[in-house]
Amino acid sequence: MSATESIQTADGANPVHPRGTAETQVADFRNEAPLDFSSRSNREAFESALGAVRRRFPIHAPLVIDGRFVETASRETIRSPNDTSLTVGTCASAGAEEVAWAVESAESAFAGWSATPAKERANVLREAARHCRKHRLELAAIEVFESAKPWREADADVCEAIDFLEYYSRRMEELAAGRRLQPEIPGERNELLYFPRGVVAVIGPWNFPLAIPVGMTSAALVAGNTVVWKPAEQSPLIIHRMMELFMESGLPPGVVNYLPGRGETAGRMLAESPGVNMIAFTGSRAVGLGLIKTAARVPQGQGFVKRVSAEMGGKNAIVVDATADLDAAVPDIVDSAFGFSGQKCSACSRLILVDPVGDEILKRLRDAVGSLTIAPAWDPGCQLGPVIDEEAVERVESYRRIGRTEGRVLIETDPGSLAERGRFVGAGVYEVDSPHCRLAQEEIFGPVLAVLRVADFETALDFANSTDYALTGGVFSRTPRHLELARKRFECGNLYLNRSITGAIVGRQPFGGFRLSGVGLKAGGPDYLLQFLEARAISENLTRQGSAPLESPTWD
Amino acid sequence: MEIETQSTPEDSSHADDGGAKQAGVASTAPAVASESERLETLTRQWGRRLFSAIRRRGRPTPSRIVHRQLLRLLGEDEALRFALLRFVDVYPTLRGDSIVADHLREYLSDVPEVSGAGRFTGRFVRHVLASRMAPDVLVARACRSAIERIGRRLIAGETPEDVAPRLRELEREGFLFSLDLLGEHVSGEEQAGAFARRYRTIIGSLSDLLGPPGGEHGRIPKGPRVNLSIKLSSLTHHFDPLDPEGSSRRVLKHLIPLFEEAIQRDVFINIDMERYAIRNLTLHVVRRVLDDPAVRGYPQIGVVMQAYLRDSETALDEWLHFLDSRDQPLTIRLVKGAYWDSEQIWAAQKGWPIPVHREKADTDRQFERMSATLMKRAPRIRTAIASHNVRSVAHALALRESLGIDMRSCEFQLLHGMAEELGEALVDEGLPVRIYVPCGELLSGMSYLVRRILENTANTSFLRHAAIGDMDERELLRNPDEGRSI
Repeated sequence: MSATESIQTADGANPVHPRGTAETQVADFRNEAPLDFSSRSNREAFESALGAVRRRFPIHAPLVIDGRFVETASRETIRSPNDTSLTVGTCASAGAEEVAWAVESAESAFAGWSATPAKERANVLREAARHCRKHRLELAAIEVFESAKPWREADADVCEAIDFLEYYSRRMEELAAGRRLQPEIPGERNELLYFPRGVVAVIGPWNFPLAIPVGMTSAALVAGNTVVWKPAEQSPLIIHRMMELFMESGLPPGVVNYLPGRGETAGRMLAESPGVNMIAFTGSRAVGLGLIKTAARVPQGQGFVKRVSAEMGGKNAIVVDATADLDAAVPDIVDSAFGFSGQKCSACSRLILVDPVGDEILKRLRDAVGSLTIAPAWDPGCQLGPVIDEEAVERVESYRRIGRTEGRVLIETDPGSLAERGRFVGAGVYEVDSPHCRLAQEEIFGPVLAVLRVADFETALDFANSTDYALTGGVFSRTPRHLELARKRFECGNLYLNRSITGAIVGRQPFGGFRLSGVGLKAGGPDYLLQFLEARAISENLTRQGSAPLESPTWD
Repeated sequence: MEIETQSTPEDSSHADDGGAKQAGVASTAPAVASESERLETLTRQWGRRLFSAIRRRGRPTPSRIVHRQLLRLLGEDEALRFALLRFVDVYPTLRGDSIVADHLREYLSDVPEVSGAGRFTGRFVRHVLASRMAPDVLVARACRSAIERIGRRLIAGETPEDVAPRLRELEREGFLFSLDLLGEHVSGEEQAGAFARRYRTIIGSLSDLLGPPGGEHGRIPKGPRVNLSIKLSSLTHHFDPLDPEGSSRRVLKHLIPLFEEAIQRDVFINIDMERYAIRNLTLHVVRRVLDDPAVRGYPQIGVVMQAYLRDSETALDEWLHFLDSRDQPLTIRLVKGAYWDSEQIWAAQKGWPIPVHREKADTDRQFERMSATLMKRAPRIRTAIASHNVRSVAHALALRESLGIDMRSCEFQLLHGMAEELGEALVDEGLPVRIYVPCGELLSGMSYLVRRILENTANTSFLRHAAIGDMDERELLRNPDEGRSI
């Protein structure tokens, strides 16, 4: 069915209001404020939320299809990376049957949902944001256990999820009003209207366990699509809780279907399903490229080409020159490289030092990295928590070995006995000579940093640009000419000057890269929703017997 | 809560309560006047007296005229002010004349011209100094001499050995001092340990470096000669309000031995105040210090309260309450606060309420109320009035007189190289005046230096208006309760 109604405004008098009569605008958007942990009551509240969540273990997460909770024969167990003897919960695991059912459910919900006025859809998102605010401590606490997000980062992740809900709801209201096209010619009316696409498969990551999946899902939803939501295998519980909050927010059954399962089975089947119109993915490069390949196939009976939005990896560099303020640079580099144990696609993985900055900064960097407190994420003093799973532990260990052979160890830290209980690894910083060595080329997704020295700023930018990725990048310099050069020549989706390179904020730093870092439009930016929509240009001849008003029509 | 005037700052009832009734109200005040009116009259008398002393000292010299012209220019030309500040900030990292000159040109290239009183200096800076006409070597030399002059004026020397002669000179002139060690931002525990060792060296050896006390003004009360200001963020890489326990543990590991040494050598230690985010954590650590059996009861300890914080009166009340419960004598330095811009930026970036007063008059008002709260706690609480604002200082002097506070319980503090005439005038009045003396390299002192330059050139700066003389004394002495004040 056509979704024309989705652009109808409340008054119903005229279907098209090209200049945004929407009440809320992206311009009014304000980011959700993080918790101020200098307040004792906030700290105590967070601590007690951790206790309350912990008392509910093991949490169980069944599938949610067509508004119903569905159990499966097989179940997955989620253990806390902080301490693998702690079972956070269990979740159902979808097989072929459930995947098909979930897609069907989303397909049949599409007619009603896509016809729901954009304003109402936006209101559901706002209601969900309200629920997230109400439960923000609980949501953050789940992340601390399930994904080992330290307090501040867990809280920031929940804030970002709220931001996506609020931002995209405002943005959709603007887009729903349509756009009147220029130039205006008497006797014709040209408009660009946006329509939902269909069923979107959302396949999310575990590293921003709530924010990124909620961002993709809320964008799909507010645009009028329906969703099959497959969480990462490592973090299905937080998404299940969010699913409940969506249901409490007035989302009709089948509009979002929660479908945890194995990537190589459920994920693949979902991507292949002819009922899925679009895949919104954030995760590894290998899986992303696989999905793009899958999406390119058009099976019998699928009358469209699947669109893929895939945010993949990064091998991000920070360049530091001799005029940098090291007092600011050192903590920001440490934060960018080792925050959440380096498990961010935006994390700093290469540090490029322009002569003669080298020795001084390396001395301070070594001291700073050596001082990071390794602890479980629930410990408020945690600066370097565990990595997500065994595979990550092994990967980090293997890159530490590579670092030792390819380069010189600047510092390696050791988690000691913590490693016996949780998935802890130490931090490692290695000085390498070539920008083409593995440590300087491959995404590690762990607390490992490669350091390169170069003679001049231009070479630093060449090195920075020498990987397959182009996600984030940073420069610490107080030389205006260098900053200008970086703006022009540093190839990355998000360039940060004189600040840390992680922690993009919705609205302020629309996020996403290019090259092998991904395809798609920037999340948290004004264009993001467009990929969840089909644009139709509509031209109407307004003349009758060759005559038409020469003034612009009343709908201006 | 005792003080609730904060929500209604116009309410001046704070001046009517308690203590002020005892003694010391000047005879010139009309007998019928209310307590607050008498205090106001006395404040103005003190203000005029200080101004005339300052005027006597402040004969216009060529360097003062240049200084004044520069302040005028920077105050009126916001874009130029920030461009020059950014240049000053990067300067210590620049090596070689042409690099210095290029940076100055780059920083100034985008600054639009303004009209107004400072335009000639502005044109000179833009068209002569920062143009390609001027040879690099001359531009660099001009920059070097200007910045190093400001640097030397504000930062007394690089090492304690450098600073010792200056401290002796200050003592001869009748000043007390508090030494502040400038240093890099601490981002690792080795660095923190090195900082602690620097503090320890000062505590252990500064009095030897200074030699026998000489030329001390007889009027100044005896107390520890060596006074050290310490920043807790310099004692750990991770001073984080999220983790008060871990942060305290890391800091106390260094701080308690420093205090043990200080107690042995009769050295005063002041714990400086930094950003609002770590205000409560800082006080928490000081509480832990005061609880330590080795330190408990030691009177030569100071903390700082910042009057620009909206909640500073509540914090002060809580703190005084805590001290009462311990019977702990303490010095409280009252300042307005040095991170005014930064606090607003940090809060805006986080979406948090702005913790500082936006209006200068609100800060000034709160400073006066807090001065009164503190002085009424004499002698257990010793008040250090740390302001360059003649009105705020005059108000404290009036309070001191009307409350009959002795020398031991109230002192005045100024930053090295700033408001020197005011300091001298106060010394001439026989008052204890302590100079906060930063010591360190220019590179690591840059954040201190830039904050001071900002302070000197801001439009709301008392110092700026006093120096360029665009506001008369009456205006400068106006009661902040009456509205605009600077």
